[in-house]
Amino acid sequence: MKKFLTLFAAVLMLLSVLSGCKMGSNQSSNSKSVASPQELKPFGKYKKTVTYTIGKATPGIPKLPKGQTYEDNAYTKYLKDTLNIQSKDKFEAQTGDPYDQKVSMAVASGDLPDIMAVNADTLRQLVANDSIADLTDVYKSSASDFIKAKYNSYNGRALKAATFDGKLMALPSTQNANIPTMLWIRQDWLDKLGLKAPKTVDDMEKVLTAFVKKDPGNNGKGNTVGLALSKSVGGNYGSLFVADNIFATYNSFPRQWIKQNGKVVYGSTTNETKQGLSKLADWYKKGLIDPQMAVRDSIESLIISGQAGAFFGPWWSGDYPLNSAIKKNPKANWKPYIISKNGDGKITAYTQNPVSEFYVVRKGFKHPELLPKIASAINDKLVREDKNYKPVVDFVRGGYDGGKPLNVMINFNDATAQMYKDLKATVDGKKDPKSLSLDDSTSYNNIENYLKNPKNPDPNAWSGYTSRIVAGKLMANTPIKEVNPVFFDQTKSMKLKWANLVKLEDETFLKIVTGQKSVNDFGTFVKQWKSTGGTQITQEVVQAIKEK
Amino acid sequence: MWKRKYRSGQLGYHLMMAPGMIFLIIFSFVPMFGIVMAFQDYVPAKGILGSQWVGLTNFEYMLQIPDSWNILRNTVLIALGKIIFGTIVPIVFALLLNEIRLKWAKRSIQTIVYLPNFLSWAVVAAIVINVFDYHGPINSFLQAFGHQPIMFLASNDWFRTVIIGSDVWKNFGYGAIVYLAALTGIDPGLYEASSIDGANRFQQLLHVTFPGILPTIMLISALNLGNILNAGFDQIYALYNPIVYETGDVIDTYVYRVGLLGQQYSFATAIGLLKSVVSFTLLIAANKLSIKFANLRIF
Repeated sequence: MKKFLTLFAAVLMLLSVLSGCKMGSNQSSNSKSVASPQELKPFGKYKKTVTYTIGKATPGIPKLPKGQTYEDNAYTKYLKDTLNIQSKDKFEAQTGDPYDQKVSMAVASGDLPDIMAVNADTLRQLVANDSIADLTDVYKSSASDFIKAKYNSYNGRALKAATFDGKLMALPSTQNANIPTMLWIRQDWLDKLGLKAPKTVDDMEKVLTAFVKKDPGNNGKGNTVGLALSKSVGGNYGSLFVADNIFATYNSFPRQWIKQNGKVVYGSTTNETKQGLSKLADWYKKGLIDPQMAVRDSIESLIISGQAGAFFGPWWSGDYPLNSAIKKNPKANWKPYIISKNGDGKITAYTQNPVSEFYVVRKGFKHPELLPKIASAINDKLVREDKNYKPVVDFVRGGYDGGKPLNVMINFNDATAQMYKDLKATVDGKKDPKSLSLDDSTSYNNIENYLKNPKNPDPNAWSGYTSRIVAGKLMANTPIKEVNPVFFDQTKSMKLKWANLVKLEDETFLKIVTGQKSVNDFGTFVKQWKSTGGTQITQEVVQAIKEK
Repeated sequence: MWKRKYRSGQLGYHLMMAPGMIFLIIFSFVPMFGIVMAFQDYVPAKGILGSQWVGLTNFEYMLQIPDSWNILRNTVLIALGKIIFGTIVPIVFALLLNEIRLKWAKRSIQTIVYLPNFLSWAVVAAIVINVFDYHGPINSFLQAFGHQPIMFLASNDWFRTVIIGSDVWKNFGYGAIVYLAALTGIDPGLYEASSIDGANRFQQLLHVTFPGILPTIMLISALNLGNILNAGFDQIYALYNPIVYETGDVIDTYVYRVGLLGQQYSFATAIGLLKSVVSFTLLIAANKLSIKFANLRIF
């Protein structure tokens, strides 16, 4: 018996060791495509249905039409019809932290979906791990010319971000200009209280105070939130719920590597950032910022429920999350305004990498060309040649969201400004509505619907008009003094130390704003930031910039 | 013949033990080889054999950042709190319940209080968040007495209390079952004898009931010591936020965040190793102490 047990244990251990080895070795198998030359073409249809697994990032507010699923909807049907391919979701998780966690788990376990979206850090990790496919050849063979032209409008900067040692390792989603972010505010509350729209930070304080004190939304005493704010407070480019606009009035650019007086500094550690934080802390103390911001799970629901009076967000806030807010309460009239330092409407804002996220293909997947083909189908064929494809048209017109298996978005550098110009020209009758792309023609219909009945608009009509005409105009007409960060990459020491520095930063910012730490502790934070790796990393960044 | 007899007598026991042993081997012994990662700059594609050897770099960095001491302190405090209150509350509850004469009341109370034990923390956390919400029942209650509302889950003064309290609330009903069973094992003759001697109910409790279940209490506490550094990942993960990292971040949550989400596998392994070393030391010490003072061997 003893012998048997020993043997048993030995076999078990052997098995576990072997399975460990297997995981390591199957990743190095080559990833040459098995597709025929015809199938390699951007819009070549496969003879046999190709099934691929994805990591599906779902929208924060689920909005699929009844009867459709993430694996079976207008977009997957379109891809099935045109390319004969079908997606299967290896995992589904909400965009943001939940999705990033799923990706991290997939990377750690080595069990990747065939195609998924990752951030810049994870991309580097995957390249170092040698677990994703080289896309150089399939990009050449299977991306359409129009897609290539779109990428090229960034003068090579977009694809360079995904290129390692001359090999293209991912297809990035492009990030066309999303600044300035605006202050979105409840116009109906302003009107009810007889207030003017705020122009400066001080105006804003008065408005928020009135909102919280007078409760124009009848939420009950103490239930009205002035400004909805994210836990990360600031420094996330073009996102919802961060206070970058306020920081910028102090010339503070948190989380960005910037040049200040000729020296490279990390924006979160500057004295200007301290001033920005102290303003927010002051507001929090006065009750103008969501008192539960630290434990708030869904800021969207705060806005949809009608408890919040204001938030910062980019031009598309009219679509998300405000479309749902209007559906819930058609009287909630949200309007965007520009907050500037002295009320002249001129603002300072930082620019960003032209890419936001990266789409990668698992090494060993037999059809690496699928990624450029899907990207081309969604961003080229569907929006131009097939823009009248009925299921997708219905999907888009219905204001639904989250259908595309891969959210890879490839736009021209000046896409937002161009969109506003096109739509404005069409509305003014200077451009033929038929010449618009699918998205734009949908927006145009919404805008037309809104203009026909501005008193009592349909939520989608309201969103289309507010995002693309009202906010679009602000975007096109606001003069911006651009601050260009000098470094977007990662240095050697960041690998070990950056995560902890970010944690320190998040924790300190949140504590200062919520008054758990005094603003005077900012100095301690900077000291600690420097001593636990910040100084060393700053030197490496300076070095890396020199070598560029 | 002898051999056959030995086998037929023991095989069944071994088979019964096998699932536990296999579990132990797969989840406790095999992963120990992974400790090597703490001394490497581990890259999954290169594997343990191919990754670069960096010696004590990860440990040096661990000593450099203030987080390490912070999470160690949090882990010990939260775990100790849970062990202490998680032992006292079920005992007191079992003793009190034992005094109830109405059988149906006793039974239904027992069933109700041990229900939360079967819910996962994901569910209980949602309840806790609602109860301790800024506008939740507890704060409404406080406000009725003129207190300012407290953000329990975003307050470093309160977070550990809430964690320990909710853990005790969730588990005390289940814990009490063991003690109730021990209580039924006490010889009724002892109660009769003591009442003849003129002991009142309280004196009976103190001199008959309590000594009767003392061995069970010692045994359960000794078994709990093994969990001294397991402060409860799923519970804390579901309830914490960046503000309370200072008081609520424990080794397990830190390793998960930094190691798996931050993909610093080697550094997280080093922190995890710290946990093993500390809990090993504590266990040995606890064993020595319990031999010396209670004459009870844990192992």
